[in-house]
Amino acid sequence: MAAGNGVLLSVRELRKAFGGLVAVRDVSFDVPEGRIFGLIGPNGSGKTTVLNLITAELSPDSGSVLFDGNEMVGRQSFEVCRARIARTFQLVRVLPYMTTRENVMLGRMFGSSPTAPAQAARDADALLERVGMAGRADLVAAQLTYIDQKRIELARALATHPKLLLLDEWLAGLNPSELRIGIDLIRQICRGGVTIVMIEHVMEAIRALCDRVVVMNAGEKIAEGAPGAVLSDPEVMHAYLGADDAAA
Amino acid sequence: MLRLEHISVWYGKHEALHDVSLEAAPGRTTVILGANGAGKTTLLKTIGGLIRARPGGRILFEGKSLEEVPSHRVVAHGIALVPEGRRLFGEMTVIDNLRLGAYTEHARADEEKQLERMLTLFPRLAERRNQMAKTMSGGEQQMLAIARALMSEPKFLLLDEPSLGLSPRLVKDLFSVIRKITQGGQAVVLVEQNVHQSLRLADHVYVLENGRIVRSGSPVEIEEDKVIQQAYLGIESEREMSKQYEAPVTGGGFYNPTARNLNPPAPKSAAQPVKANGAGNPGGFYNPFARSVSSEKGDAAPQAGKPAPRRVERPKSSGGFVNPLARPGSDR
Repeated sequence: MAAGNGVLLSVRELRKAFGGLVAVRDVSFDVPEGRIFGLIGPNGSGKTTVLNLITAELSPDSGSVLFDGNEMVGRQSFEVCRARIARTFQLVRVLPYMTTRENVMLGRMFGSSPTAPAQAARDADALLERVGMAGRADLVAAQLTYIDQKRIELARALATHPKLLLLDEWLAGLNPSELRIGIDLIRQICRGGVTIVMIEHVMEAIRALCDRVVVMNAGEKIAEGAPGAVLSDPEVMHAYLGADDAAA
Repeated sequence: MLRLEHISVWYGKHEALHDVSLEAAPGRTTVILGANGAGKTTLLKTIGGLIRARPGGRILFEGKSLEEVPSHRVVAHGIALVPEGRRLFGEMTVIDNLRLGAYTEHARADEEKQLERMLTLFPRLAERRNQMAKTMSGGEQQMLAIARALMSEPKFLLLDEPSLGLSPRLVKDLFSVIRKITQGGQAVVLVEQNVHQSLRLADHVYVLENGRIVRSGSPVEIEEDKVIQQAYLGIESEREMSKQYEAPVTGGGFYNPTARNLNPPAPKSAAQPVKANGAGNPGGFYNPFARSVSSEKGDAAPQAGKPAPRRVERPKSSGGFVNPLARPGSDR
């Protein structure tokens, strides 16, 4: 039912507490298919927890996650992946002692459209080229910089053949010129038919890419709408941007 | 004075730093710019004694050689590193993390006083003093990492991408803290991708590219430098390049990791590149380390079809683009 009206992901009244701390408090939002959806808010406001609830890394205390009309709550992470939701991690989780190519091959071989190793290796190389890692397929992941490891994670996520891609601060740590290229890459991925939910502190990217954003603060959704409108909301400016960022 | 002379660092067969020489003045903010993978973190770790340079290079600090000194002794000499990723003791409280920062003999005597100072400089840490470090938000952890380093009372504080993953508001707070630190007389060596804000703090800037220093100058000189603008500041495509090219700037080395980073996309009709290093140098300073840098190719870009201009003529000839920071007197 939630799949109607072009909604790919519907998060309903999601709640998660860690001990006495309610990290996510009854958060709801709908992500339209084929769009880029932003999730922003101060550090510690619960954004990553929301991603972890969607991908079944954590199970919610209550609420539901409907993807393509199917309930994801109660499944395991690998099942969510095979349902065609992929993600990257803020604190990267590459397999450190495997090569770049092998990391990406895993996404291909065990994702939603598994292939044999030889084909997976070819696909991995193509994906690595796409994220700017063409020359580094044979390097061991642990030796790479943080940014390169994030590129591996993106290629690995794409290798699982997702319909929905969740990016957790994927653009952090890029200089302004690299950022421009990163923004372009995300846009291309979306145009290729992948719906994207991105957590990001880089407002330039949020403004350039997102059709719609949700702002979280202290576990709650405090605003939702088009980036331009939301970012000029006084509550958002106070909680998130600091005083003089409105015009920026 | 902290001075590096001819520092080269290899990881196996990969040369991460090549013949790097630089100086960081006491009480000043020295900013290191560069694309990802350029060697910035390696540079800070080498200064901090966590990575060894090849024999032949020197790290001089107040007249002493540090290149063979183990990292805990480097701290005792007055250089503290705030590493990428913070590296806090997650299972320990805020206060215990801070106290560990003062383990050097010199700092121990002042521990209580320093602790008070840190809790004043970072009021948030005072609120959270008994909380386990790993349970704090990213911004709070970054503040704790900086405070822990300051507990050793360093003369030089090395900061490796402190703003990474912080919300816009916390980034502002962070930069004002860095400003306070330098106003208190401590020197900062800052590696940051938040280029615009870093340049506002900087007294001197070095640009690293593929392990080499390719530019050095004041923040104004660096900001004026067209090639730097294109490769690191993302300025050109916004203001003027969008009219010239369809394609986005690819100078950050993002797609092609083997491409030289300071080598902006040469338009098809670009004039022949000018070779000269001295003549084409930006802002009237000469950098003996700059190799070919291929920068003049980039300079020539807006004047497709015409001979490449000398860089000093740029303000007049770059399609109406006026750099508000350009100082007429800075051309030699």
